[in-house]
Amino acid sequence: MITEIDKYAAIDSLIHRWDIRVKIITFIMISFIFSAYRSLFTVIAGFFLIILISMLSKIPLKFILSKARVPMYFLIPMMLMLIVSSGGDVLVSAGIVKVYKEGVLLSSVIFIKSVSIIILFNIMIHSARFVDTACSLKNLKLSDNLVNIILFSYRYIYLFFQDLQKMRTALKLRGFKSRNSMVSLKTSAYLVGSLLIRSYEHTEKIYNAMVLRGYNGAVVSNRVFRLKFRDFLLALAVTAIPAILVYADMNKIMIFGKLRTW
Amino acid sequence: MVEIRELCFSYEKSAVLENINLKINRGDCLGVIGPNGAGKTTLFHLICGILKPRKGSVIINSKPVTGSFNRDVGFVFQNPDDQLFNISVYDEIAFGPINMGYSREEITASVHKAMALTGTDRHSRKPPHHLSGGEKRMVAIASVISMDPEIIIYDEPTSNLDIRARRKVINFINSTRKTNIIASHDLEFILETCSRLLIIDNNSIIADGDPSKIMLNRELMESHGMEMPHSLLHRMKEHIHDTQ
Amino acid sequence: MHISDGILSTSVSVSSAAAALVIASVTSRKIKQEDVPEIAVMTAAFFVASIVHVKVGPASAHLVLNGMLGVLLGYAAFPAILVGLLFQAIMFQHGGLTSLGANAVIMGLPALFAASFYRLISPSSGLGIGVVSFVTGALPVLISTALAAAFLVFSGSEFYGTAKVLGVMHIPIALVEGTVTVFAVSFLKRVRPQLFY
Repeated sequence: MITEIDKYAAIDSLIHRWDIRVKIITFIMISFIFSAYRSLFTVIAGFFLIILISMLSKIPLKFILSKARVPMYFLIPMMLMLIVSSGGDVLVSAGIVKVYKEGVLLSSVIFIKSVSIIILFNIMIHSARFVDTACSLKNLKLSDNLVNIILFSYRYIYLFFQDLQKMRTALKLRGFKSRNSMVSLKTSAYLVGSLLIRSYEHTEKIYNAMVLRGYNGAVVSNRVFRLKFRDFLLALAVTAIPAILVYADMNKIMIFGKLRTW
Repeated sequence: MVEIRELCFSYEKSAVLENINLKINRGDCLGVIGPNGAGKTTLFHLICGILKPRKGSVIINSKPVTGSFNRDVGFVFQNPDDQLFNISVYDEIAFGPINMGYSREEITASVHKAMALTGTDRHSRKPPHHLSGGEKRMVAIASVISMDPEIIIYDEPTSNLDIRARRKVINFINSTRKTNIIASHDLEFILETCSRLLIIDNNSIIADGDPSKIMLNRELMESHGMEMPHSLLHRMKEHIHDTQ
Repeated sequence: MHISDGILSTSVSVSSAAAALVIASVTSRKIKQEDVPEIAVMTAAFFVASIVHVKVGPASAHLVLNGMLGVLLGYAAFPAILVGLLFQAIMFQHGGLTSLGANAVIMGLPALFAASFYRLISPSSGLGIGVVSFVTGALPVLISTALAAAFLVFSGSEFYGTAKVLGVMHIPIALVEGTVTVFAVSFLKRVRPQLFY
């Protein structure tokens, strides 16, 4: 889980060498450009472009693609609902259940879009050390407090996660099973409460330890951010094709799989 | 009572335990020592059924351990905070009996018995979170013995305890008639409580026998990163004297 | 009520991301610097606590806890939720960059509501602590669901059916969340009252 975060951060690739700030802005832009795609053709073309970016990053493709597995659990039920509820031309009907053409098209477009955007996010996260990514947010004028919350909580999530695992094991060893009952809900609530208390008790120790080590509210990354011309060039190159695709999509140049607009 | 046959376990690719064979008899008080990361906790988790062996089996009272809740085995965690989460000491101790489907009278009786044995009755209305380290430890023990398991596993029961609380734990363990399995770095504690000792290191059982005899073997102890307890030093002198 | 990437229309996701950014900046600038470690620790703790699953009928759902976040962290609940969602995206692959803002608004605004409800409205309303905690737990879940449904419907009429199903599905979840909040608040009040300030 958390140990995976910096696994591929040390690779030397075009994407890894990219200035993190420019990379974040570019990836945000491409992600939103992607969300504007409406035709099946454009999303497929865009998907291949993202695979290309992923290959440029030299992070194993298998790893990047595996990151799209969990979102399927959210996506697939949503897609199924869309297919039978979108309205429009009926493709197949069995009793009261009707499969709509628009639903099938829309859900395929959404599916590929979603996977692409998630892959993009994972390339962004895994192509730099997490601490460097977070610190570069400060240079992007995000509030210091917000970035510090990201950095500090990142340190404690793993610790608390282990606490929770142990507490769940302890519950299991004393015969607890989650059921549809008041007692079961009470136990879960106490579990949450105990976890919060244990974490809260860390707070004071943490703060004292930090003040003793000279903390004054600022987290310093030892990475120097220096913009180069090629950072912008790369941004331009990577954004150009998705932008052309969205232009084509909006102007109905590629009509294949065109949907009703929304 | 407990029979472990050809037990193997590994996390991903690194082996933690290899080919463990062990028999524990009813009423044994078994100490387990060894350096950190030697596989003690893993062995305990396998006995409780939290982990599934890669190979081999654990058999308790002639039934194989399946991985679901087993009322024959109780586990006292190294850190009581992992175990205590209820709103009062009473509820904490009653938690196991409730889950086991005891009747109201049985629950009350088992809680009171457990509180009396561990000396925790005066805290019964307090939240366990408000207690001292030593008191928390006794509540954690009480919350396990209220379920009346035949075997109780203690993971580092004296860690972070002051002398008085440690003595309480020793007295308690010596007063029970259960089958106890105790992992500890506190060798003096093992000497005072255990009738049998295992050394686990390098994924396997290195030694199995009488605690003081094993601990007297300075070479064996030091080669596995441990020191001979001070209380044995005078005995060792006698030992050398005898052999001369 | 987590909305995945690629579902919302560009206008909805861009405007909700902008809204999330503005709210997060305003609320996090209000945090005192010496409170940052505490809020960060509680952010991590809530993130981990939301992994806890409870049974809801035949299925199981993880806890949302945005009402409790509001009660314990006040306006800092919003940045805490944003950061929590970021970690969910990183560690559990819950999404990408386009859904982060929308989900932060969906989860975070009701947390801010819970914060003010618990602090301002409830003491004067004369309701018992049990009722107040139930409402602070259950109502944010319903508001979140309503927001999610609204975002879906704004994104396209095709999502109307999905939004309805989503709404109905979350009624039992809201009840469970309310009940858990009642127990958790009474537990924390008894064991560590200094958590509430």
